[in-house]
This record gives sequence, C-alpha cells and structure tokens, in this order.
Amino acid sequence: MRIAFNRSAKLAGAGAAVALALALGACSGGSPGAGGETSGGAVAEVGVTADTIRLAASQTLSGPGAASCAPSTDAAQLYFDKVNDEGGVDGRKIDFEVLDDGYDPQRALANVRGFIDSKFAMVGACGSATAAAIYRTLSDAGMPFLFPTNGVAEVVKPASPGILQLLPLYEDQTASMVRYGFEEFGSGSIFVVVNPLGEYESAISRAREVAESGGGSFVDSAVAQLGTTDYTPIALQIKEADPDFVVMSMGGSDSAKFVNALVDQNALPRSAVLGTSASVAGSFLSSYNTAASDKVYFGSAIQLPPSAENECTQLLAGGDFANDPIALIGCASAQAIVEAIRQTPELTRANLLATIESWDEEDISPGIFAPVSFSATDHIGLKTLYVVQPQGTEFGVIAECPYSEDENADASCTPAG
Amino acid sequence: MIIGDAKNRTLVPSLVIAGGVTVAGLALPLDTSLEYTLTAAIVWAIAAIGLDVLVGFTGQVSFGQAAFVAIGAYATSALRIHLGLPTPIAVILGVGATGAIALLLGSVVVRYRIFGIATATLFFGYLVVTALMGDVLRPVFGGANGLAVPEFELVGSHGKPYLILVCAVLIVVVYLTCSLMDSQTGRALRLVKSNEAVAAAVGIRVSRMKMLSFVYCCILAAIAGVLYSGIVGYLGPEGFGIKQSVNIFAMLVVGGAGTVGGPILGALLVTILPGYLLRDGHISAIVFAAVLLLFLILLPEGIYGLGQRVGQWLVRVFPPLGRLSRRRARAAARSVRHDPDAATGTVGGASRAVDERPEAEAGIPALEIDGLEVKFGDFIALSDVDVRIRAGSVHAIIGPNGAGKTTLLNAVSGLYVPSRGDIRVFGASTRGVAPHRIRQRGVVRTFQTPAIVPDLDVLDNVKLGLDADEKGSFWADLLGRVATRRRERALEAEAQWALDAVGIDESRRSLLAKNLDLSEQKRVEIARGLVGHARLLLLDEPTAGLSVKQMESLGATLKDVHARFGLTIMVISHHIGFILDIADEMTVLDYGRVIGNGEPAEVLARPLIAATFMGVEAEAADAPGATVGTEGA
Amino acid sequence: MGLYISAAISGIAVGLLYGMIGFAIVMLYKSTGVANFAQGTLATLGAFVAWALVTDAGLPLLAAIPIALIASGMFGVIVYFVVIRPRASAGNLNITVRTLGLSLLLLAVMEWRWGALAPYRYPTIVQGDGIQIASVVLPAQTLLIAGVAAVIMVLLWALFRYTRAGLSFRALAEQPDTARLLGLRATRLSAATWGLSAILGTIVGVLLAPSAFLAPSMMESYLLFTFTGIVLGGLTSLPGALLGSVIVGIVSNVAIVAFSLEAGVLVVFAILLIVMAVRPQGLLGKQEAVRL
Repeated sequence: MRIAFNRSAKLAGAGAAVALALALGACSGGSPGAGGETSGGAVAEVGVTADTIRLAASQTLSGPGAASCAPSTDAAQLYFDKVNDEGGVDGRKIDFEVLDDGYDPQRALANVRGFIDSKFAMVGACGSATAAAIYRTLSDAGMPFLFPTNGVAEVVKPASPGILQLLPLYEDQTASMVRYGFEEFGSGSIFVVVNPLGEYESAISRAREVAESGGGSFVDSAVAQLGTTDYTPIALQIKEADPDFVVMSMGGSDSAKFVNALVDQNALPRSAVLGTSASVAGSFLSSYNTAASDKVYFGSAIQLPPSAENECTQLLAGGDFANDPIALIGCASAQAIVEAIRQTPELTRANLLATIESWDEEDISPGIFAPVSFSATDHIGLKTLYVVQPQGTEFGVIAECPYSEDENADASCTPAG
Repeated sequence: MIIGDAKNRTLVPSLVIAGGVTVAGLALPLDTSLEYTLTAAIVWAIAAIGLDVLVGFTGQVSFGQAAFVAIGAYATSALRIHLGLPTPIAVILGVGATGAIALLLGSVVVRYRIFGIATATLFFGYLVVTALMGDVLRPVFGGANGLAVPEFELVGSHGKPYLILVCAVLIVVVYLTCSLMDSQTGRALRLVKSNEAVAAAVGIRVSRMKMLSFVYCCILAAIAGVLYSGIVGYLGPEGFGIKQSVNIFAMLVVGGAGTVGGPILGALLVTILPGYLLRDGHISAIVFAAVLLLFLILLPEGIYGLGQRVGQWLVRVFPPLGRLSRRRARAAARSVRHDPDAATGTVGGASRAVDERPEAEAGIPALEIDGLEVKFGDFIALSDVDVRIRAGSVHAIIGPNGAGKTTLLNAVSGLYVPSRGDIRVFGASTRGVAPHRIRQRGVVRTFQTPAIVPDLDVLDNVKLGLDADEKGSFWADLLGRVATRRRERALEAEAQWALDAVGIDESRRSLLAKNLDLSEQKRVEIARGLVGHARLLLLDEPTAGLSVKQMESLGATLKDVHARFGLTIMVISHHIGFILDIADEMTVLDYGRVIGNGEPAEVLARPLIAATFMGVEAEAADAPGATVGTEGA
Repeated sequence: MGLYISAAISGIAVGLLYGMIGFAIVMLYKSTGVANFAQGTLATLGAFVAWALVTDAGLPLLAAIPIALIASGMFGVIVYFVVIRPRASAGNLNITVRTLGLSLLLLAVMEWRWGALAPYRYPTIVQGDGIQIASVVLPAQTLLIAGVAAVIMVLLWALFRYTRAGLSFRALAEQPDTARLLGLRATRLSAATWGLSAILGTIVGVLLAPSAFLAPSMMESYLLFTFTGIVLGGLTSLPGALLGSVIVGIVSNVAIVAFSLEAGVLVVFAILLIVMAVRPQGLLGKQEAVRL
C-alpha cells in the first residue's frame, strides 16, 4: 500500500505529470530531419537509411477488436523478422513499429502524426474507421499506406495518392456473392444483414441491384452493431420473411452468432447464406454451429487453405494463428510490401508508389493472393474473389469468381479444381 | 451521494495550472505526436471541467459526456460543410444546439436520483453513437464512414497555432468556471449537492440549478467537440462511445473533482499516459484502470488535492511561505470587511430591524394551520392538526419521538404536500406553492442536523441565506469579481452582520463549516436564516446535542434577534427549560394529533399532558433543560 | 403472430439474464448504496474461470461450474475488502466509480490473458433442439435459462425470508443506520452480499456464454439494458429489477422484429424517459420520503 501510494504520489505531485510527460517528450523530441524531398544523396527519404527501412502501423491492439485485428500485424512482424534474418532487403533491415490505437480514430491519427516525420511507409492494419480517419493526412504527406483492411469507399475510390489496398470493398463483394449464389442455385429472394463495416449501405444496395437485375428480389435488410450479443430477433425476422438467400457482411464472431441464431430458430434460408471476406476469420471457425456449414458461402480475398509452398503458410504453421485468415492476409501483405521495395530502384516514397501502380497481374504471394493489378486510377489490387465454405476447422475454396468494379464485365465463376 | 468535498477559491491555482500547461506546451520542443496528444488532452480537459461543474460542484453524474462532445463536434462540422456557414456562426449554432439538447434531456433527468441520471446519460451516450452510425442521419453526418472536417481558418488543424487557440479557450473556460463556482450561483449548486431539500427550503430552485449545471456541463463538452473536430480533421462515431465518457470521468476523478484545475491535470495524465508513454495496448489498459482505482482509494481528492497537501506541507516546513499566504488572505479579507454602509445601503441588512410589520398590527397571524393531514402511503403522519401562531410570538412545538413535529415543519416549508387541510403564511395559502416560493414569503427554517455546506466556509454558508432575495445573475456570476464585486461586498457585510448577531467569533468565520462545533453550526444555520428577509423562523431542534451552557447562550441569541427584528419563531425542542425560557405559546403533538395548546407553563400543568407525556419522564422534567423523550441523533 | 410470440419468448430469456444481473446490482445497492458497474465483468470473469477449468484443467463442465461458483464467491469477498472497504467514507459516488475502475481493470486483465484468441465457443450444459410448438421454437438454452432463473429466485426468496442472514440483510437494506446501531455486522454482511453478487454473476455468465460466445467484452451491451431494467423496476425493488428487465427484454426484441435493431434501443430509451418522468419511483419502487 505504502509503495503504491508513493508511486501515485510521484505521478501526481504538483502537476509533475505534465512536467514529466513534457520532459520525456522533449528528450525524445527534436524532429529528425524534417521534410520528405529527395535532395541528391543516395538515401534521402524519410525513414530510409543505408541500413534500415522504418515501417509502422497503427493497429487495434486493445479493446474488443484486438483479438481479430492483432494477428495481421503480428504475422507481418514475423515475416519482416524472417526477411531481416535472411539479410534484409538489399542490405537494409526492416524496422517495424506497431502502435495501439484501440480502434479510436483520435489515437490512430496521433500515431500517424508521429510516423509521418520518421517512418517510410505505413503498413495497413485493421479497421475501416481508423483508415478513414488517417488516410487524408497520409495522402497529403505523400506517405504510402500499403494495403489497409478497409471497407470505406472514399479511401480508395477515387484513388487517393499513396493509399493502396488489396481487398475489394464489401459492396463489391456482396454484389459478387449474390451473382455467385444466383448462378449456383438459381435466382431468388435475398435478405441482407450487415454490421456497419465501412460502406454498409452500398453493400445492401449493390446486393439489391444485382439481385433485381438477375431476376431475383430483395425482401428486406437489417443493420446490427458489431458485437451485438443476441441475433435471435433478426433470425426471427428472416424466418418470417422466408428468403431464398441471406446475404451478410459481418465481422467473424458476429457472423458465427448470427448463423447459430439462424440454426436455433430453424431459420436457415432455402438456398444459401452468402457472406463477405469480413466473415472469413478464425473467430468464425472457432464458434459457428457446424449444422449450417453446407449452406454457408463466403467471399474470401485469399486462397484457403493456403498453398503449402508459400513462405507465409510455412512461417505461420504451428503458431498461434496457423489457420487464421487474417494472419495470412497480414503476412502476405508484408510479402507484397517487401516485393515492392525490392522492385523499387531508388527507394523513395514516390518511387515505391510508382512501382506498385505499375503492377499488372503481379503474383506477389502465390498460393495466397491471386495476382494483383493496380493503376494510377485503380487502387484496389485484387481482381479475384475466392468462394469458400467452412469445413470443420478450416475454410476450403470451392470456386473462384472474377471480380471487377466494372459492373458488366463480370464473367461467371469457375469451380475450384 | 457525493463524490467528495469541493474546493473553494480555485481561481488562482487553476489559472496557474492552465497557464503552466500553456507555457510548457508552447515553450518545449515537442515532437509532432506529443504536441498532438497534448492538444487533444487539453481539449478533453475542457469537457472534463464541464463535468466537474456537474459532478464535483453539483453532486450529479453523467456517463454521457462524450456524447455531448460528439453532438457539438458533429453539429458544428455539419453546418460548416453542408451549409457552408462561416466558422464562428457554425460554432455558435452548433454549441447552441448542444445546449438545447442538453436542456431537453436535462429537464427529464434532473428530477431523478443519481442512479437514474447515471443510467439515462449512459443510455443517451449509447444512443447518440448508434444514431451517428445509423442510416437516418447518414446523409448529414456520414454514418460509420465519418465526416471529414475542413481546417479552421487562421489556426489550421495542428501545430502551435492550434495549440494557442486551444490553450486560450482553456484559460477563458477556467476563468469563467472558477468565477461561477465562487459566486452565489456556485454556492447554490453546492448546497444542492449537499442536500436538495435544504436547498429548496433556503429558496433555491433545485431543478433549475441542476439543469443549469447540466447544460453548462454539456456546453463545455460541445466547445471541446468543436476544438476536437478541428484537430482530428475527421469525426467518426467510434471516438465518442461510453468508453470515452468513462475516460472523461476518469480525468475528473484522477485530477480531483470539485477543483476546476484538477481535471486539466487528470486529462493530461489520462490522455498522455496511454496515448504516448505506454504504447502496449494491454499494459496501458491495465495501468489506466489501476491508476484510476489507486486514485479513488488512496487519493480521492486527486492530483489537485495532493498538490494542496504538498502546499500545506511546504508552509509547515518553510514558515515564511505561510506568512506570505496569510498576509494575502488577510488583505483580501480587509478589503471587504467592515463596510456597514454597503449592508444597509444595498441589501437591507440591519435596516430590517425597523421594517414595518403591518401584519402584526392588522392582527393577521404569522401562521395558520387548519385541519392538516400528511400521509406517507398508508401511514398517516399528521391528522387534523390546527396551529395558530401570532405574528411576533415565539411558539414551541413539543411532543415525543415520532409525534410528527418535523413533518409539520416540512409541511409548512413546502417539502411535504399535505393530503388535506390548509396552511396560510401571513394570510396567504401555501397550497401548491413550491418550497422556494414559500421561502420568498419569509419562511426560513433550520434543520435538526445542521444543514450547512460542509466544504464551504462559514461566511459563504451564511450568504446562501440571501439566495432568495439577492439572486445572483448567472451572467454576472460568470464574469467573476469584475461584475459581482459590489454585490459580493454587500452579501459579505450582510453575512458578517448576521454572524455578529448569532455570536460567531470573527476568527471562526473563514473556516470551513465542517470544522465548527455543533453549536456553532446551528448558529450559522440561524444566521443563514436571519440574513434573508426572514419573517417566520422555523427551528427544528436547535437545542439537540448542545450543552446546558450552549443552550442558554443560544436562547439568549434567539431572544435577542426576536426582540430586535420582530421575528415570529416556531421552534421544536425537547428541552422544557429552554421552551419555558423563550416561548410565548406552545403546541403539544402526540401520534400526529394536537393534544394541547396554550401558554407553555399552563399547558404543561394540565393533567392530561402531565399524565400521558410528562408522567413518563417526570423526573427528567424537573431538572432545568430536561429532555422529553429521546430524539435520536 | 408466431413471429412476435417467438420474439417475446427470446426476449423473456434475455430479460431473465438481465434480471439476474440486475438482481445482484439492486441487492448491493440496497445494502451498501453503491451501484455496481463491475457486475457484468464479474459475470464474464466467472464464465472464463469455468471455461479455463474445462479446457486447461480438463474438468467436466458440471464439475467446473460449482468450483467456479465458489471461486467467484470468494473473489467477490476479496473485491469487497480490497477495493470497496478501504476508505469507505469517501462517499458513495467515489465507491461507485471504484466499481467502474474495477470493471475496467478486470476487463483489461481478461483481454491480456484471454483476449488474443477470443471469442471462444462455450460448452452448453444442455444439448438438443428444444421444443417446437407450431412455428414457435423454444431452444433448449432458453428453457434452461428460465429454469435456472426460477430456481434462483425461489432460493433467494427463501434465503431472505427464512434465514438469519437473509433477515439481517433485509434489515440492513431497509434501515442501514438503525441496523448498524443495533449491532448488525454490516461489514460481514456487505462482504457476503458481494460474494453472492459475484456468484449470481457467474451463473449468468455461464448461461449466456454459449449463445454470446465467451469474450472479455461479452457483457458490455448487457449492462446498459440491465441498468435500464433496474430503473424501470424501481431501483430498490428486487422483484422490480426482474420485472423491469423482462419488460426491457420483451420490448426491445419485439421492437427489433417489428422495426429494426436501432428502433429496439430507441423504444427502450423512450420507455426509460417516460417512466422516469411519470413515475420516478419506478414500477415497483417505493416513494422515498426525504430524510432531513
């Protein structure tokens, strides 16, 4: 007790907290060589020295979202460590710092403001809200933000300089999944259930458009906050509406709770439950009711199970999150970043971005990601959506669907061989 | 249910804290991230100061403060973005809208006890975030995607210019809040905090004061919201959830509630510790909770209270410091002391001694109670009670425990609503009249346990008695001494006069009321009654717990003020000697009914009274100052 | 119609869980004047302890639960002595905020210890499809919740009615000052109440976890509705807490089915405000006389 008191007394004493914090700040302060302009030397970019490349991420490491988010940066860290152990990228070691933002936009922005003057690029992390909060600041500073998991359209559509993502937006995914469902089971009525992940309204409206233009109908939709405990009322609504398809865009454990509620209330739709990549998470696998498994089809950004040849598969095997799709995405994204750095002759932020924008059908992580393509106006890399089904404690790919932002260009899906 | 004592005269220390933060923020070479975190911390400090007014000074709670920050931020930003309004107009409208919403919510929640307010504000906070995420408001507020906020003119969105703006707002907010809390309005809030019923009886409109406090709290939240929107440049619903409301509450607790300056320190600690110093998510969450708990258990007064203690310790160790501060206090005291003209000139003060008392001449009784019945559910506390009190007389009410004496007083002062019967004060019925209105008619009462504000000094406690007559203007009170100096001087003179009248030694008048002994506290309460335009003084057990000597002295004081000001006094007491000494008439209650009425000595001699009432305690009654029954403490 | 009946039934099940949490909160509020914001976190912690006993120690669920109940009872008592009792004179609001701090602390510790792989699938005590009457399904878990709630209510009623401790508790709750003067051991009783609250919490946690999945933040959304239920019921009334919570459960579920999820929250808030404005003492609460 006494020690504890002294400690809090120290923390508190006469505004010492301020002085302490400020003093610490002063020590660590003194902005390191401000400005990101190239000025002649071989190495003149922020966060790049002769022997290191500084990367950073602002990630949800605490709070309810931490469990599903953290594996992506943890896996990226594992990959960077591996690269460093093997000698780094062109002799430079990667220094990767991850700060917690607790899914709070204010803290994410604080982290970013600290990174701009000292780090070379931001590694994407979890979270539409945080991505939406920080992308303008990053874009204005010309700092690359590589491959966030984001569902907010305005971040990448129209393309903002420096902000590049791999995953298709949820709205495009729901559209693709409805198309897949109709191809497979014939057109019918759909009921859409979403968590507000990024652009959820357009996720509903795009699904509706595709359903109606494909000869089906739209029955109703429901929006549930992420982390809703009891999905029974929505399951009951669906039972009453009796649709052919349920389309959902929900977080991993919310998807599981929802599917379980459907099973409990005998409310599974006649044809299928169609979901987006947000559902493709370890948290779904660990808790869904297997009675639903043959009716569940999710769009996935990555091939599942991943190819055993891929470095990431080997790296994560046996670890805490071997089967976690989010960890695979984190590791494979890190692979893509390292590949981009390798391909960039003179390492500046602008050159790095130019490299990535020039990618056409680039195989950055074979066996996990399908080939990716970017351009100056298209900042969403993946053009293929895998359709997966939960099979026990794993997901398995059952089809591949071409995905494009261009409505009419979609060819039909092909079953996985 | 209160969180602890509030501090007095917080202006200087709070300004020192705000100024210190400003100077440190501007002078030190901060890195971008720390500068941003510091600016954000100051923004939250403004919201926490608002919460301090509600929690620390008014004794209410809100777990929805972040929601009001959100409303202010969103409203202002939406007006700037969608209507293209110039920033100052958007800010005024946005903050005004927040105030209006606070007023609406406040008008419902202030009626409720703490638990209800806590639940309602918590729920409201949840609802605001849900609404901001939802479809309906999405075209305006951007839903879950959030809203991009354009930079402010002149100060941009970050860096030193923005820090200067935020610090300037902080200093103004600190000045206004400290001034308000040290004014008549602030004192009224603190009486509401210590006892709502007493506040009503003193003439304070309790619901109104609670609403004022709630709206003030929310307005500061809205101002913080505006500043927040500028520095973040983006508004998303996530940042304003229950978690952030709890964080703001933690800032208040850690910094010290009821101090104004404390929440600034709390905000710095709560924001900078997890946001900058401890970057590991789990550790920072654990440390945050542990620090909060440690403060609550070991240091409920927060950093501010600790600073004050360190200050007192320094004074002990270096006596010259103490002399310095004492000299300053004395100088301050001198500047307002002994100005009898101020008293008689502006407030009335001793001049009331020569007030005409037309009722006394016209024969209108001070108090008439006819057929009064008071019920609590099925329990009838008073039935068929008739009492008539001549203007200018001293009338005693006696009776055993549970006879309904205090209930009678509560009914007269409007705290209980009678189910039957009528009460007329100086000829006018009080049916349906609110307690503070009854107080304005000159009915002043004291309470069995002295109902003073324990953490306010004696002089300020007495000033509260003038609330009904010398209502402070909220706007003048905000401006502080600049605007209230004259009135404060008059109040001060008035209070000094009343304390003279009840015989409180001058050296005791600057102490906190809780440091006085019981008899002094009772005198202070009587003084508080005297300063108002008291015409009918209701005293509930003024003698309980006093020694014989103290009782005699109190009796002398009462006789003195009675004679000098022609007051009518209705007094409950168990001490027969005391009553025989001061009372002209007496009413005896038993089981909620009147069983005797008349001249005290004569009534006590009646066989019925003697048998049913005195007989029980005959022995005790023989002795002077004897006790009838045994009233619990 | 079947839709609304089903919604109401699931609402009752949820409401009973809110109600049991609310019951524990009101019990503490009555005897100590403190609103316990940590009640939900205590429930989650209890569920985690039972879960850890099953997965780490390999106990069968039915053996793990009683051990978890005893452990949480002891933990409740410890919490009382470590967090609540020191400097109890600091004021009720101070203590109330302490429970908030305790909740944050327990949450942070659970996040740190178990958060990384959460949510966990939780073993159910009962299996099977439940009962189906026409189109209305009564899932097995719902039946279990109703059964447990009924048993607990009867047990607590008997405890308060017939045991010495129960009578003392009631005396303390009705007249705290007098009870202390009469020499009731308020400290011992308060500690026991904390223990009992924690046990009730664990029961709720174990019942809820199979459908909500076990995660540190499992109870977060519950607390709001629980407090609303308590206020509706009248703050100080134990049956009121249960009644209020069941009303909240039914109303919100029916409103969700009829309109939308947001409407569910909105309707409950509207009811809260209306009851507060019209009947401040709540549905079953007593009007408190002002004590002066």
